[in-house]
Amino acid sequence: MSGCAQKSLKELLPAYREGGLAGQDLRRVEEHLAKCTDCRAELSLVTLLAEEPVPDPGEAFWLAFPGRVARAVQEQTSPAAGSRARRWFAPRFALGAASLAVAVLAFVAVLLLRPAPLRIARVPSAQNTPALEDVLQTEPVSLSDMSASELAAAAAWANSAFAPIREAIRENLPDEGEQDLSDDLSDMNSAELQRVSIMLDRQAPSRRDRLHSDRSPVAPEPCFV
Amino acid sequence: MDDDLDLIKRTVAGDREAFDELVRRHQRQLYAMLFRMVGNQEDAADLMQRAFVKAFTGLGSFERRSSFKTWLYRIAINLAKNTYRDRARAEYVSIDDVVLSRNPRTLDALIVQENRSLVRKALAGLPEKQRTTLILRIQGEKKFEEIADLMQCSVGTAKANYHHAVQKLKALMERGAKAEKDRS
Repeated sequence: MSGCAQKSLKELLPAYREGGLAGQDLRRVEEHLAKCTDCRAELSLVTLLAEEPVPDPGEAFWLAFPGRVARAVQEQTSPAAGSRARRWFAPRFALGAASLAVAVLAFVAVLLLRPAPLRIARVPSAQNTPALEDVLQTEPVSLSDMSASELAAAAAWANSAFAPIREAIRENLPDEGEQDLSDDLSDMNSAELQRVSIMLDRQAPSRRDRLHSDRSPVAPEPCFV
Repeated sequence: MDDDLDLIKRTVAGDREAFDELVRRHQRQLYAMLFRMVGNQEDAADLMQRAFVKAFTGLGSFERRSSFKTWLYRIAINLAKNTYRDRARAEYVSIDDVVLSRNPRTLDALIVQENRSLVRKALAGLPEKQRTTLILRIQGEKKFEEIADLMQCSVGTAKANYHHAVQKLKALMERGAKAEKDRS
């Protein structure tokens, strides 16, 4: 069987199948198909190919795909930007938690480095005034051994020494009434906003409830047990 | 195309949601074309993601001489070419695998369901440009002018690739029909 040589007609077969022909072109093709087995066979082949089904990956795939592209773009354009983005997703009050941790470490360092409680608590008596160095080297302080006045002196010292640290912690905790996150939030898409909302709900549901109930400032949680 | 241009301008200005909308607009058709080119969902999804990422990073240099869709498809086709080239070498189409109807109008029998997979195999055996042209014309329903733009060739070349592709497919079937006839 020799092939049909009418190339110009064959080029029209896909359009004919798609219903995209009209007028003279449509008539030409229909008349030719009535006579040409080769072109009828080619039309069958074209139809078979055109009707090849494409499996649908599902609505969840389509909904998630733009986000997938966005993440891939972030990873590709800047690995540092990717890690910045990850940090950016964290709740803002994590900054306060980090500052609190630093303050705790600073307080512990102060306690370890300063022998002051011993010096202050152990008020030398008139009769017996050992050298400070002797006391420090040989006599560790036990709270149970301290008198009431010694304990009061130690507490006074601790309060005065700890006051700047307590102030620093308060300053670094975000004020929920004043911090404006609108710029940051407007950059987020709906999936990211939902994620942040879920994280906020998990982190401080009681604080959120108190906020909603009385709108009064919430006292910071005690730092030390 | 005007809507795409507006989204492109907004994307370049930093509006992330605008590019998400571009993705949503073109993802399904692009996926269908890529699936037909590479034959499996995973590769199609992966290629589609890479095409969109490449489009995003190249948006600044998009000269708008063609539509965004054509430009995006061109990126995807080039990505698919490299993927499919290696896989197609491993495929072998044997004429003996072709199951033909005893109907004298042998090529008409292609419409039979069981020949679908055989036609798919024959398609896989075509040279890359012919296969791509055939997929774009028949399954993508693109005009020859659009195909020429996509494949960066002349309209005449696009038509020639299409003709050669169809002839090769038919030749596979006709050879099988002849072999069947000689055996009976």
